[in-house]
Amino acid sequence: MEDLWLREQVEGHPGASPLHRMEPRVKTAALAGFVILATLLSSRTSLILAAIFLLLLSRAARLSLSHLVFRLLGALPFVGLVCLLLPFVTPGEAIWRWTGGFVSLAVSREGLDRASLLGLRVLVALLALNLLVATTGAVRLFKALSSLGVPGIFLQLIELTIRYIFVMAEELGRMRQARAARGFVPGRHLFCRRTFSDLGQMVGALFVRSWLRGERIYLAMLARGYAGAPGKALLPPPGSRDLAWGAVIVSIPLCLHLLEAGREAWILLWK
Amino acid sequence: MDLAVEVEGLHYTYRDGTEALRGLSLSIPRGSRVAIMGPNGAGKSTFLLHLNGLYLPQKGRVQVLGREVNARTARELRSLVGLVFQDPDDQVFSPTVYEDVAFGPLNMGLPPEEVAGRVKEALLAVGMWDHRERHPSRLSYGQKKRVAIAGVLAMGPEIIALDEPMAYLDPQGKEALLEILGRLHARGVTILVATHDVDMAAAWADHVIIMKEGRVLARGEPSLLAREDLVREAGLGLPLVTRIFCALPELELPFLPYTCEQAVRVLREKLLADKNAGHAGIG
Ligand SMILES: Nc1ncnc2c1ncn2[C@@H]1O[C@H](COP(=O)(O)OP(=O)(O)OP(=O)(O)O)[C@@H](O)[C@H]1O
Ligand SMILES: [Mg+2]
Repeated sequence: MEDLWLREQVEGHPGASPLHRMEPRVKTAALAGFVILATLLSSRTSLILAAIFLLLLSRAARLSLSHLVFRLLGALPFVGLVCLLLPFVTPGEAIWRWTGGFVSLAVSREGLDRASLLGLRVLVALLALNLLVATTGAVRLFKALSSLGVPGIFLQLIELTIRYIFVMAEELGRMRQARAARGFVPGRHLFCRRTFSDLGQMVGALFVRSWLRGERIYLAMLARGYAGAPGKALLPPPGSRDLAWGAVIVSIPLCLHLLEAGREAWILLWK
Repeated sequence: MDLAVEVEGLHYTYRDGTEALRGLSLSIPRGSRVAIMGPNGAGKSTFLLHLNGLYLPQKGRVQVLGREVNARTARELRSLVGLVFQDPDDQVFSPTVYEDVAFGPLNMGLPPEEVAGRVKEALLAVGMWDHRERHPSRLSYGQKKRVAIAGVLAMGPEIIALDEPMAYLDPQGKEALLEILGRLHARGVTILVATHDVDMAAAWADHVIIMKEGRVLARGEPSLLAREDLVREAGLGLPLVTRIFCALPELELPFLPYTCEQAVRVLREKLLADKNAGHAGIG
């Protein structure tokens, strides 16, 4: 088990699926191309088809469904909020209206369309990202990104963000525990005066503490030979099989674009 | 003499203006076991961070294994000098214990078989092999400390500096650590330990350096630790063994013992002498 992990870190996955074995640079580029092309699609049907294709790939790579759902749920608060608001704030033909006193809310058809398209685009992007990360492993992914020309500072930023999110979460847990141990009971809602001022203090202290700890962790990483994100890694050129797979991945959204264009032409002809 | 560390007039001031080191000078022979002692805030941790160029000398100079410590040599020194931090939470941050110990060796660019071997050896040495799959933040503090030590052992450094390694270890953990340090010493590794534990320092070290307010207050053999004036000035206490003999001036000893072995030897000699005296009296 450890052996597998080490191998994956150093030389790549021994091959759980063709997607795992695929050359990381080609895979990264192909999936990035896929996302860019797919998010430019303008019909719901073709976006759904793109999402289904990614789901099939994830299935073929034997990724765990529960992990996938978990990751998607993580993004829900951000995307969900926007998707919920869009139908109300987009002007257009109202399909549902609610009036109470001076306020009136209306859901517009245009808004619903925009929300569903946005939701689907985000879904496609997340599915592709999950596929990439889960079948590549962090170290190889960073190597691939750096040899594709992503500046080192960005890679380091990503890596440290990942580490520090956990640092902050742990720090928060410890602070909460220390408060509870000295008899602090948080009020029942945010508008209770004490709770509110306490929250302010917490956030302030959390910031300072995470900052200091972050600095010490960085020192500890340097002490163990961490040298920032890997420099431009020298990777062997990708094989023709990798390139073929990459081409297949990118061709899917291209075909969908053609279909969309074709459908428009079809409608024009019909008229 | 072949020196592992040589420091001359080292100054270090933190950004907030705290002068942590004010002209520190010391030298440490290769292969020695050094205890660095001193009150809280004496600058022990700050000094240790200079050994592999994490902090660069603001004034004065530091030489490690014959290399001047500066921005250019810092990278190279990181794999020669292993640093175990005072707070394991600062050092242990990977998703699993195993990955954390592999972090250093991977950074050194070793092949996977070698990394796997080193990680296993290090985790076995600190008795954490069975916990290798666990998330470090769920471990007890002493367990985290062991993982932090394993993380440095796995890099196979020539100098290893441990900041308060004994804190939070249970008695068996301490024994185990002393045994590990003993093995490293036998291999010729230079070991520096910053600690407040006078008993450990007295029993284990062959050199003692006492720091205060960013300077060296005294240095020499562990017998320094039996000098009450010095120990008091350094905010330490006498070793337990010494305290017992301090309370027994009637023994009229020529020197104060500070380790168990010395105490046993002294007492045995006394007992034998008394017995002989007794026989002589009867006869
Ligand atoms: N990050 C920092 N910023 C500002 N001042 C610091 C920082 N770290 C340490 N100091 C100060 O530098 C001085 C030396 O601290 P250092 O941590 O080296 O002491 P120490 O001998 O290791 O003490 P202890 O026995 O408590 O571990 C102290 O006065 C401390 O307050
Ligand atoms: Mg300290």
